[in-house]
Amino acid sequence: MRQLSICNACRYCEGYCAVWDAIEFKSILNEGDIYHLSNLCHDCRDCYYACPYNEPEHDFKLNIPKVLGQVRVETYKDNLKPRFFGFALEKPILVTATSTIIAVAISIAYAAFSFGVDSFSSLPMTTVIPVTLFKSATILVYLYTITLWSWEGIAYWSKINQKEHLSVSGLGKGIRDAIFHKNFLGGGEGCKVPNHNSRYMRVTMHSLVFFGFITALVSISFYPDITGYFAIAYLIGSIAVTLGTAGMIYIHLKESKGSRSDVQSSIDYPFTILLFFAGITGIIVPVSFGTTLFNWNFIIHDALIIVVFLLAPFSKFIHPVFRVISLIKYNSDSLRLSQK
Amino acid sequence: MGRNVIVVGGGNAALCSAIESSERGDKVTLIEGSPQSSRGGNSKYTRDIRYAHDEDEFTSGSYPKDELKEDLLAVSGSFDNREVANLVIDRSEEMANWMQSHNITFKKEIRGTLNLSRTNAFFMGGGKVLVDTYYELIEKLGVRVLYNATVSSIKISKGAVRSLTIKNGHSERELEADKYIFASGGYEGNKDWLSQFWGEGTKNIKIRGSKFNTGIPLKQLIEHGAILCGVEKAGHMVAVDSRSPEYDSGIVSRIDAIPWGIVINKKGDRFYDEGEDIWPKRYAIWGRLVAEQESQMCFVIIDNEAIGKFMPTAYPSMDANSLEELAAVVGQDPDKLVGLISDFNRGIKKVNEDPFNWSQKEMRIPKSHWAMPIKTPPFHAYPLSPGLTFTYQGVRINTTGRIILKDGELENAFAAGEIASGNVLRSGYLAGFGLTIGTTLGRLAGGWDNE
Ligand SMILES: Cc1cc2nc3c(=O)[nH]c(=O)nc-3n(C[C@H](O)[C@H](O)[C@H](O)COP(=O)(O)OP(=O)(O)OC[C@H]3O[C@@H](n4cnc5c(N)ncnc54)[C@H](O)[C@@H]3O)c2cc1C
Ligand code: SF4
Ligand code: SF4
Repeated sequence: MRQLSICNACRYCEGYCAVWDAIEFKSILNEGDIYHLSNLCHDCRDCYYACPYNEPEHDFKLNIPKVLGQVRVETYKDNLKPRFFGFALEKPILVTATSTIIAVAISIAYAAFSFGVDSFSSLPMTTVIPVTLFKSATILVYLYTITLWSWEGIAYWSKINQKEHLSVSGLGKGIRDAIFHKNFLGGGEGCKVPNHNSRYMRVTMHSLVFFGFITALVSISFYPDITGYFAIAYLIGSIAVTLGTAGMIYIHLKESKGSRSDVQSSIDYPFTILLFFAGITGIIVPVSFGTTLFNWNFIIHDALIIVVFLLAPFSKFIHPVFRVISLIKYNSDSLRLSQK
Repeated sequence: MGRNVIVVGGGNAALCSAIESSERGDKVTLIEGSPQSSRGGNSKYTRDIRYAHDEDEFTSGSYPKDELKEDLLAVSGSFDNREVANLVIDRSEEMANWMQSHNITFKKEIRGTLNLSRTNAFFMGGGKVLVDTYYELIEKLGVRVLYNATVSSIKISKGAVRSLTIKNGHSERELEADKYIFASGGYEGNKDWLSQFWGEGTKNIKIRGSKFNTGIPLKQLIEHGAILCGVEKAGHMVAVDSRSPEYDSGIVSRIDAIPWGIVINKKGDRFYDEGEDIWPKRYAIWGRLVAEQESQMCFVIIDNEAIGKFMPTAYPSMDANSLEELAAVVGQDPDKLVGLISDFNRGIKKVNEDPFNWSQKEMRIPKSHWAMPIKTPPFHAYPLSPGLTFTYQGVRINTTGRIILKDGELENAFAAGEIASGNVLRSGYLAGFGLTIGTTLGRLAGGWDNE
């Protein structure tokens, strides 16, 4: 709050991302506004590098991405549903690691006990994972994720909503901004991290993960028909996710400078690493087709993907929901004000 | 070509001259008095430039040279050095393009509530990004940068600089070069020097810019007989929040609520027309006015109607539900404050709906515009101190950028930026022109068609 009042008096960062426009719409900020701002921030750090009032040297000791990051984690925790799963965000590394290990162990046990270790690898794919099992599991998992996401999204919305109306065009623009990563461009300046020459690295990497994930998701839904074009699509999607997550991890490692909060890193890393492994095993799926490796890799890969979805409402993977809602609100506010 | 050049300073002017010199093949060493983490002098607090231009993509319309010149004369009265002033105006035309080709991004889009200005162009992220971008660039160009290195004295003989003494903590060394460029800013960070003009009160003056701008190279040049430009005592001073730090509060400490309320000094008296129709062009007078009051401390008082009419402040206002309570909060006599405000409210003349035309002319000190009654609680106050932006006085240069001493020019020494801004603006200030002076004179000193 104190930090953002200084920004409100300064506004030099205006233009970097939606946060700064949203601040301009207000002259006095309240708690709901700060919640909203925190989810408009995608942590590019441009405003940190632009700020002459930063910690540790300056008396004002600002670090906007860090406080917004902390608040953002608060918004995840406060709106996490059902409350019972709150511990997942308190101990994200432990939870991610444990659930991954359990899921992988279960799938290996399933393979070993149902088919026997020796014969497992030579069985046809549809015997190992019958189509009905695959389809029903997918649908269940999707339903589960969407239900919890909506529950959380509604809770978040009621916190940031201040009786202003959303508009349909705001909705459209919000979704469009999210898909096209509009705010990742730093208002034409790109990102300060890692450096001037690679200033579009973050937008590239995040887009790779995003579009790669969607591509893979769509192509696998044709299971068991996952040869030919579907295999190629799956391969491309998985490569994109792998490269993108590796890139994101690289960027995070580059920007040490004490500029991010530990809570936030502890939530970002496990999720990104999990996706990275999902990406790698995803690459192996089409590549290992017809070899003895295929079945083993395929069930492990499926186990990882299931963990991604099961943890979605309790991990970094809440962010798309809150972010899209925030962008919709931002665009609605912005349209309403420009009509005045 | 191939000369050894030392640039003294680490702000915009120094960086522009380092870029220009090394692009021309000189071997450059840049000496910045501050640590790396606080590099960039006052330049890191800036955000826009003012330059002459035809219609372009960074502004909303053209700004001819003649108009720029008139605007400069309107704030400063006359030029101390007409040739140099004209040169800066002429060369400002190329500035935005040059900056863009040196990695600076300007805002083009109209986002949020920002409207492009006609006279000034805004760059992304402000001054910190500007200087960091230039530092990244000069490192690529092979410029050697020394941080924590302060020039403590200058040796001059037979019309040329012979060497510089560089202090780094406790160690001292001499550096020699073929050419020297002084771009070390003003002396606003030097309270001893300022106390020659402001005496005791100096301690209450907030320095908005860098505490590393102590003006030692300027003082050395003066001692060597440099001819001076710019008003001696004065500097650019605005009203800032008294709660801000003593140095480096940049843009965020300023308070521009004054036209919407009344200003009282420690004794509880008003002392100047808060609604003078000079706002915002010369809101700078309020720094000096506050500095002239007892303890250099005043309060601006507004009511709730004024909220939202001025730029948000970094510190919260001091609030109270009645004027008596507010008097207690700001340490004033309640009866006096209540009396003053009821006198003020009583004599207000409203001509039409626009508060610009509301005035209070019955009091000894009038308020000629925006005389809005102070009657809607909660009432708010901000404590005011003088905030010094920069000092005006600097060294005289000629149109090649060389420094002029009483016995002639220094053949190998140049000055650029704030240290030479007195040539163009003897007093007063035109928003966005500090960087323009630094960029054009910096490039000139660096050898921009000067050979
Ligand atoms: C809050 C604020 C906002 C401003 N906004 C704008 C704006 O928007 N647009 C605009 O055009 N102007 C603005 N100005 C004015 C502008 O900052 C100056 O005109 C301009 O930055 C001067 O540049 P310079 O390079 O000459 O000096 P500076 O940027 O002040 O650099 C001086 C450098 O010299 C170094 N130095 C000093 N002494 C020594 C020494 N003895 N040895 C070694 N190094 C030394 C300092 O560390 C510093 O790096 C603003 C000023 C302030 C304070
Ligand atoms: S982060 Fe710093 S530079 Fe950016 S708006 Fe806030 S105070 Fe200003
Ligand atoms: S870190 Fe980037 S996204 Fe977050 S507020 Fe700053 S500029 Fe915006």
